[in-house]
Amino acid sequence: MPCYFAIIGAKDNPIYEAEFTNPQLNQFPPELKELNPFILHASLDILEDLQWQAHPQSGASTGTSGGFLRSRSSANNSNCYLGKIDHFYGLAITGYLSYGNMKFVMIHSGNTNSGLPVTIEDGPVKSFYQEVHELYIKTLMNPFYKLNEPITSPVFDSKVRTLAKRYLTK
Amino acid sequence: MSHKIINPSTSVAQHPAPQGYDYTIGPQQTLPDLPQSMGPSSASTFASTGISTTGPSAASAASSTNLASGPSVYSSSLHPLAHTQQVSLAAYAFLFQEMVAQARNASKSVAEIELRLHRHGYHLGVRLLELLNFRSSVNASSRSAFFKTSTAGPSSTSATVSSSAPSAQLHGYHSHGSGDAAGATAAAAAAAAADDGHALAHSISHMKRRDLTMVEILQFVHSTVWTYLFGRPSDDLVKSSDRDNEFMIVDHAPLLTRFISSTNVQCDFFVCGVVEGVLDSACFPCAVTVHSVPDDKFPEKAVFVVRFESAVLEREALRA
Repeated sequence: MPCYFAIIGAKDNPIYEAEFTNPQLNQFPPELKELNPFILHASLDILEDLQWQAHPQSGASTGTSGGFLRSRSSANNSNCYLGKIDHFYGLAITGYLSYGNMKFVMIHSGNTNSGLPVTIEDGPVKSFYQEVHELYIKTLMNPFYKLNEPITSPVFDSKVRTLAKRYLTK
Repeated sequence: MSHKIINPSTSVAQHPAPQGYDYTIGPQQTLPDLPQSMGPSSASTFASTGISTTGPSAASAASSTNLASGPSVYSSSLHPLAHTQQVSLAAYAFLFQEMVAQARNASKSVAEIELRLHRHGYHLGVRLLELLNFRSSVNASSRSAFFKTSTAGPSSTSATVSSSAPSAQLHGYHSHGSGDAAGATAAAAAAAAADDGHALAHSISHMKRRDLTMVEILQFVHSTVWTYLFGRPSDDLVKSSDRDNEFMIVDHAPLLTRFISSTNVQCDFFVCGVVEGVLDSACFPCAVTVHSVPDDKFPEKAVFVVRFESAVLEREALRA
């Protein structure tokens, strides 16, 4: 299933973006593809609301807007992985926050033919985010990399794509 | 960055080597091991020649393996026990002295020297926030060893510091008091993690919570950051009775400046920078200053005053 992944910095500036698609089988429809960054940035408001909640994944009980949208399958104490935070016409958007409040956001698209909403499997998606988080920290350990700069390293890029292949494509 | 225009992702790639993420081009589409020439960007560049679609993908695969095999920041492990080399206090003092001298030569006023030291520390703090939190969430078996050594740390390391041994621990988790067995298993785990760079995040079931309140994040600075840098937690964490947004971290004998006799320049501004870097990047904007408050028992006692901006207080009042 095609995904669009982006890392957004503390000043809402793009750090990194990638599309995970398989050219033969599934792609974002061309009219939607250009909208991806807009859809993704539209969900940042919800993400910033969840950022300061003690239990961002506890579901509808928080009583805030967007509470009913999130998947409730993984309710634990961690507040890095936020689960499904938003949706847009059958696309699902998941989010993750690093300790330095870098925003990791991803659009998941289902089968392009059926208009059914996408189901998010929290396990693999969470693992994907955690491993990208580790890669991000390794990037940050580079003394020549400054906070909130775009990550242009080809090694980072290829590692993220390998992770996407392992966790996100079925 | 602002002078370049971000092209739509379907347009033709104009750069000769689209290696890695280029924000002027936009996201690339393909996954590894898929023929790259099927993607729209490369299709439009290579299909016009009408020949060999395997050429570019094979070349890029070869170059990517070259990139992956070379030493890079991505091939070393983040495990707390993967880097146990410790800096001797003498070497460190030499480096810090050079840093102060460089700042002093380049500055015109005392405030400027302090600002330069502050800036050096800031970059360190930004990185420590991510790194130390991530290390705390590494899986349970090595975490227990990690906490054991870090709690065993203070007594032994402070003994080292007070006896002014030359090998005081600047980066000491895994210092003196750790059990050999626990250390050995943890080191083996670290070695295994170093083999495969991804094993570390994969083994984490629950990431450590992000710190959401002023007290939580200050406790992180007080214990975790101080232990990582100086081998012991700071001596006290006090809330100001006068102002709501003011907190104080007390250090009876700052390790960084123990060889610097009292001058009118406060070299502990480096540590202020570290603290401010941690707090700033955790979205707690603040100003940190240091004041030396000598008393009878501790002639070098330093107090780091953290003043949060009013936005932090407002946010906490809203979320409470």
